[in-house]
Amino acid sequence: MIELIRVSKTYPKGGVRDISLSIDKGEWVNIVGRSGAGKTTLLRMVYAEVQPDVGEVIVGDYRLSSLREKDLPQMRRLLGIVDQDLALIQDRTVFENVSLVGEVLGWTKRRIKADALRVINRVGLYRHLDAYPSQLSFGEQRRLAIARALVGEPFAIIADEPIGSLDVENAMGIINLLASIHARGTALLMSTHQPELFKDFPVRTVRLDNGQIQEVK
Amino acid sequence: MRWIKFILREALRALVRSGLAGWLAILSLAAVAAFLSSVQAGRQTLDSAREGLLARFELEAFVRAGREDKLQELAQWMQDREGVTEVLIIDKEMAAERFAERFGGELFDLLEENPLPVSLVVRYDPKLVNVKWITLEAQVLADHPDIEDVAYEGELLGELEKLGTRLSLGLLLAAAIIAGIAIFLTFQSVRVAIRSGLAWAHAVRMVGGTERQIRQPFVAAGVLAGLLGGLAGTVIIGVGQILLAQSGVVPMPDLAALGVVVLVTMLIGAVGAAAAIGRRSRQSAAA
Repeated sequence: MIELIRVSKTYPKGGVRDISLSIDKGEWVNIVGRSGAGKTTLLRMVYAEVQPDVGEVIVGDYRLSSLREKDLPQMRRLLGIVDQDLALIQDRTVFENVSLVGEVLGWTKRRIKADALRVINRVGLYRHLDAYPSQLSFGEQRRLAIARALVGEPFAIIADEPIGSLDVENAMGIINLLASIHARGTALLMSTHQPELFKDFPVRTVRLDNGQIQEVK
Repeated sequence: MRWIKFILREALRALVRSGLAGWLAILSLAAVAAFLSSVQAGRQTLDSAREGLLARFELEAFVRAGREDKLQELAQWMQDREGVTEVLIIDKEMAAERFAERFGGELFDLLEENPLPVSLVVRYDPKLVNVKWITLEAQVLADHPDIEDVAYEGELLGELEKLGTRLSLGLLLAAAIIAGIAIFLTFQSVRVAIRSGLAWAHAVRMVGGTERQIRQPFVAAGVLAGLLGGLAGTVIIGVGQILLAQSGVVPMPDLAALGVVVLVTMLIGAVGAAAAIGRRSRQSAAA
């Protein structure tokens, strides 16, 4: 489903070396490691934001090394991406941020509204439909980014530090939300600094150190 | 349809995001439209004045002495020529009257006989009259065996044409300069819109949007600025022209020409926006 085959990417500081990793359908994989370990680089290679120097990344039926430019959006539509900086549009409301997906994908107005409301309700932001991202708490902003990633019904969610900088209570709220998404069959590939918070969940943990896989649990 | 709505909505947002730069672009495009509309109104007025002048333009062909019997035949031949609207036969008496009107009748009182030749005055469709054409026409008439000489106000015609050419060149140059400024301002405003829309563009990419979906709204923002500026400029000048036309100073505005002016400003907006996007793409590629 998602496969990284001996991928390397070198940066002056950091990068990843000779990583091979496979994420099966409906699986939950956490990438853990210190800052600069290569977690973000690894995730970005999955959605082709970063091109590996060597190796191959396969997402669904797409081999990213030979991916044509016109197929890149199609490949990304298979994934729900929660970027580290969340990439929320600050001058749009919660509803508009989530609706953007349907607009880009050319859905009908009715479907955009129905699906956006359903997902916003699911992430617990229904009360904040007309709020702008700056009016939301940090945790709520994460929920909004997850809602936007979820609305296109991707087969996998790729989330970079979705609980980073959150207190335990808010982090557990996000983890429970992710668990509910996973329970419905969506694969999860995410990075985190706090693997201990996931001990009660069916998670495979991959530890990165200096850009290499050190441990798989 | 949904696709067009998406582009228009995002274009409007991009224009709003560009703030002051967007307003400057619209204003400069309005200035272009106002300038082009004024040029158009001026051209219409000049054309109308020129047509009025040329409607009175006439060429006089003097018939050789002793060929007066061929006068009707000659008149018919001239009448059948392309562009001829009227042929007047000027017999000796009429020639004397015309002479007297111009120079006074006292001279004729001294003469025993009217020495003026019989002539034919030919008037033309003003749309056809120009120096080159009338020179050729005069040559053809002069070559006729029954015609002694041909006279016309060639100098006036030449001056009129020179003035028109100079005016057109000057206005064209001014229009090019103003259009250049408008392209630059649109370019800058779309650059500002792109810069403030980076988060939007990133979000669209992340949810599977195409590069075309990202670029088209910015081009549309340029076109929209052109449309708004174009409409503002043409409406202001158009209304002014209608008010002046009521007092007969200028003709009524040519709506088709004003429509072309709006299209031109939309094109300028699109060019400025496309240049800004091209620059951004080159910068991204280099990065």
